[in-house]
Amino acid sequence: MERKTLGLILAIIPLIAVIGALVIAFALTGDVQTMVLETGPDEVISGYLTGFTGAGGDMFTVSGYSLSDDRGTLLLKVMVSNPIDYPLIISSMSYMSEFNGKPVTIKLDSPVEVMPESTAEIILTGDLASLGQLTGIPKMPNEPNPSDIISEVSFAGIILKNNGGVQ
Amino acid sequence: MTEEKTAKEWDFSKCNWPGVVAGILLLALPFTGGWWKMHVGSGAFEVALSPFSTEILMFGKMVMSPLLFWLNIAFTILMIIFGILLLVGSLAFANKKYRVTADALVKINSRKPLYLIVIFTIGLTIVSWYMGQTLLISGFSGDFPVLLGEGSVTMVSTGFTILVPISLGLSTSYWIGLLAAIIAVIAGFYQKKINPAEE
Repeated sequence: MERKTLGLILAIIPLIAVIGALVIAFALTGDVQTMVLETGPDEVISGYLTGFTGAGGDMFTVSGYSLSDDRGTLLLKVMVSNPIDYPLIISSMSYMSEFNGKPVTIKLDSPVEVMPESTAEIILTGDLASLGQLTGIPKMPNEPNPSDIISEVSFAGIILKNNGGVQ
Repeated sequence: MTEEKTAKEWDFSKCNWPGVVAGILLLALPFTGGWWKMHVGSGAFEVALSPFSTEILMFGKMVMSPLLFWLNIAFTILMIIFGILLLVGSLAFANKKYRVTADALVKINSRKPLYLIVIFTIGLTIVSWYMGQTLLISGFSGDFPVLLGEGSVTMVSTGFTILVPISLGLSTSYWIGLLAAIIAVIAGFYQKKINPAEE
């Protein structure tokens, strides 16, 4: 075989292979978008975001306040529901409230993981030591408004910060 | 007597050794895994891409790209063909009887792997730039790296700020591919050196 012929054949083969791959992929899928990628990453991330925003205030349900035995810590039980099919890590959660008429920060002490599409109970605490000796029946804070809660949750390394504007 | 004659015909000291090394590396190349890796978050979106394989995982679920699947098969077959031809050409140069064909095989195939790497790298640069643009159009803002590097994009939506860390990088397989391509090019030059009469 002549060198030119061999060169020509070896130059045409890749071209035929690439065109063949394109034709087969298109023939099997029928449209260009599905041929390239069935689902785009932006659609998936937006889908998860919609899961959160759709859940809105329903993600956090307050069970009620109580005081620790030594009356030095305010405890708030919150039921957290994970609306997505991926583990949800709550890194931080806090809000400002009033206890006995004095401001107190109520926050999550350590990160919590909520399993996919399930609900978990978390406890937020408020340190009352700086408020002095408690006497009589203390006036418990009102239930927090979801829009007052500042939180940071993450799933699969994607971080969602709620800056207090969830409706 | 015939065996002696055959042994004399094959003088392996005259082989194109860079071509032999490049041929072996090219044959192994399709099986070394992804060349370019993209991580979005930690497990949210993972891509490992090479001309010969594609692995896309979205939240742990495999996503299929029929186009890339068939292109991968095409490039795997092509690379095996070019690897074999380069290897055969480089070894066949040891026999005077096959030198003309061997010379042609080495010279024709020596630059093709480098072309593939260059096209792949340019293609990836365009794809990663396009991905960044797509995210910007989707409402994200921030810094999406092109080809290599780390960055993050953010989106603000109804009280939420979503922060997506992104990392792009080339794997060891890419550098093995580049090394094989460079050795193949060297084999082409070496061929000219050991067989100047064919110029």
